[in-house]
Amino acid sequence: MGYAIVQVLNALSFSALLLLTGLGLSVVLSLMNFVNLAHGAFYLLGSYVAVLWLASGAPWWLAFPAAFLAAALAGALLERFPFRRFYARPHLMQVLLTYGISVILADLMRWGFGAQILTPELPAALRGVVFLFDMPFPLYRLFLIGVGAVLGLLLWLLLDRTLWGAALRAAVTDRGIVETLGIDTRRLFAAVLVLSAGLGGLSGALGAGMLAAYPGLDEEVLILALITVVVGGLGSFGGTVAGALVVGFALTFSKVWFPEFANVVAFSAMAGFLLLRPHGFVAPPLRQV
Amino acid sequence: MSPLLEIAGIGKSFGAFRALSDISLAVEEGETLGLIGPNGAGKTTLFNVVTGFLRPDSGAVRFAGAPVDRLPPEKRAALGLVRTFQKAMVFPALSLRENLAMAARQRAGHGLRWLGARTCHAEADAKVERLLAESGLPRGGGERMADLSYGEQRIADLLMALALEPRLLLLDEPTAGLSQAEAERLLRIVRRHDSRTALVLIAHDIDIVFGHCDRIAVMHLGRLLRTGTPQAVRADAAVRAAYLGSLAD
Amino acid sequence: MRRALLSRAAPMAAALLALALPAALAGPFHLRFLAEILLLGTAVMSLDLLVGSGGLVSLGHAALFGTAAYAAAVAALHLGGNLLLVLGAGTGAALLLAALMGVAIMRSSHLFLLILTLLLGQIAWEVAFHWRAVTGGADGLRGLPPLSLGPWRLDGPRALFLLAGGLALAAHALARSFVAAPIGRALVGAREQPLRMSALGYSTARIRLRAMLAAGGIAGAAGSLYPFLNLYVGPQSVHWSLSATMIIMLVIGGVGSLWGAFLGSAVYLALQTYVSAYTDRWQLFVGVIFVLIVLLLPHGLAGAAARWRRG
Ligand SMILES: Nc1ncnc2c1ncn2[C@@H]1O[C@H](COP(=O)(O)OP(=O)(O)OP(=O)(O)O)[C@@H](O)[C@H]1O
Ligand SMILES: [Mg+2]
Repeated sequence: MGYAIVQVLNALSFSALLLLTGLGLSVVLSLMNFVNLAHGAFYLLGSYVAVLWLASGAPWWLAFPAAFLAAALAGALLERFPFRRFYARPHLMQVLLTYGISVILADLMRWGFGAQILTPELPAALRGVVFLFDMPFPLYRLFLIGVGAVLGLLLWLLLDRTLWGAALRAAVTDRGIVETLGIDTRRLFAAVLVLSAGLGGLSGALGAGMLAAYPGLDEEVLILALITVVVGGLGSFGGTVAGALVVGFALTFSKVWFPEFANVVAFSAMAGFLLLRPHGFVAPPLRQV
Repeated sequence: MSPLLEIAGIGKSFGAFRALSDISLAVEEGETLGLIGPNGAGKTTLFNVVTGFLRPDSGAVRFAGAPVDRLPPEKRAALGLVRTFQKAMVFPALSLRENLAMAARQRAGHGLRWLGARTCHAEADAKVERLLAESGLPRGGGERMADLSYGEQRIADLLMALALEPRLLLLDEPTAGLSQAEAERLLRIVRRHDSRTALVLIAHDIDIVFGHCDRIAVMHLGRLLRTGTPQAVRADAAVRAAYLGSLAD
Repeated sequence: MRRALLSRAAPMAAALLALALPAALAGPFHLRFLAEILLLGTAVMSLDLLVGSGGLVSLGHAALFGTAAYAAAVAALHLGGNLLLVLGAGTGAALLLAALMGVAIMRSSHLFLLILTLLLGQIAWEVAFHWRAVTGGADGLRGLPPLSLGPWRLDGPRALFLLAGGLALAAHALARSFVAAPIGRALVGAREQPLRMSALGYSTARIRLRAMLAAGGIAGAAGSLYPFLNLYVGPQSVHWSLSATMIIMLVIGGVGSLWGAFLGSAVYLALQTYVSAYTDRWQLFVGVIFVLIVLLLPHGLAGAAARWRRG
């Protein structure tokens, strides 16, 4: 019983991390129809910033906003050039451009932060374990689950329940009309990309306590986030939540049940899911004919 | 003899919206049936169901005496159940000739061949030349589809369907956006092609439908209001109320 | 007629010269290096069939290449390095995997297809990495017997280079005939207007399956020879990062041109080999060049060359 609950919580904490990373990706995808493969780099940048911040002795909780800001700044720069020019281009070109950018960023980070594995010094408040049904469980993972749920909810409120979100969704459907209403869609899109990059950095800061930070992590995280978003059906909020849960649970429980072939089982499950539902969990009802 | 196409009790909903309810209809070999109805009546949806692009919630479709409900669109096309789309759906980046050849090769059963490409291409090209000559398009065939005028694209769109030598041809508003002369020319091409080909023609232009069709079916809000000869339909009170209204007066 | 003949003979002659010159002049290191360019280029060219003609961006192409490499290596270890045997084993294995992938991607497109091929490819990688008894796990397989054909041993760098060159030429001819044949045209049609293709009676699923088989067969043939360059095969040859590298090579060379694939793999491998001798930042170079090409030359080096030739 206790063991099962601990594993479920493990899966949930991983899902929370996937959700936060995936949301950054899916926000630009669903709202701007832009595929940003540099998102993994934003994540890793956030991780590095958090690790350095936590080692510096400054108030620990500021590490998260610092990571958000650092990644958001990188996002803002890249948005001006060259992302902005590619919003209207086909997905393939976006994939190529942003993958190229991510290769550059990855090497720059390897240059700046070194090639070794950096683990953050967690503050006392987040260290240690709690006992659930006599089973030890890392406190930090509970923290992740909580933060994931709260941030996810906030983002949903922002995009779904505010005027800003409404303008955004309208701009996606028909940019021209929204512009005739006097709304600057360029700034709107820039804001979304910066928000998404910041989210990437923030999730990197949060994830560092679980996955540490090292070269190559950007790609690993990117792939998982991409799988999350794709399994979720590209970009609806509910879909991304579902995708994060599917991927988080598949990866966690395949390790529990089939330790030898964990990834084979998990990948097969995800591939099988995509075979049965080629458009993911929540497919938009598009009229084709 | 059973009819060429037999639709029985077709129903289709999109979510809570009933796009088609209980449509039953038959098309005979060689006849021209006009399908009319206001925007959103469900005409295109009916085409989609008949050609296999949408699965109906209920009902059955028989073609040439056999049920086709379980066949995907491409299998239905191979049987001779051929359609065009409401928007001209061509390959804009390919040449006019290549557009038609794409259809001709598939008709000859060579669509997926790798070996013996030369003979396949030669055969298809010969057929394309015939079609182009027949159509009277003042084009050599080498020009990119995207560079053709809209009217020419619609004719090319039709020629692709004709290259398949259909037994039943479903045309979805082939004349929309064309001038009167262009529309007449397009319909002449259809008629000249093969008199045994049955035709279902969706059009909003009443003159065209009443002038060219043997029978007319009227749809409204997903239902089939009336089927009959042009005179009978023109005289029908329900049709006048629902659709023709001011137009007929 | 004579002009047509000439215009077809000229590239052929140029290609043969390009093979003959290094074979006569280059040293062993460069011959091996060129052979690697040719083999990877062949695999990238087969990817171009999918991406360039079909718009099917696969992130699992290395799985086809690498699976063939493993199958060929295992066959060679157990049955000896007979060239035909090795080619047959590798290509056959790749065709099997390609058939599987082809069936899997029948209904997917765009990002879904990208992720699906990635997942399938990574499953192949996991197998290569964890099935120690057969694949040697993380260490891979070493100590392969050299290639042979009847009485001839094909183990010198010159023989390997000529073998790779012959394979590349044959594969290029095959790929060109595929693109020109009805199936190649149908692949383009299914990319441009899948709905219309169905309405014309084409099965897009079968088109994709055939394209995948053609691409898989060619990638597999190249992969079969790959282990014999260094008498070693490791899990990196199956990993998705090699798939991504292939896409980079393809884009640098030029999507849709077929021969650009060789150009792209040459540029990439040259950067990797020569720039890395001077600086650790060679990946930065690759990234910058790649991004510049995406920004400035959307049709890659081959496209730029074609434009330049047309004036
Ligand atoms: N795939 C779909 N998803 C949701 N609704 C659909 C879909 N296809 C059709 N509809 C709806 O079904 C109704 C009938 O559409 P349909 O296109 O068949 O009408 P139509 O008679 O062809 O009209 P028009 O003359 O404008 O072409 C419309 O209200 C349309 O919005
Ligand atoms: Mg319609």
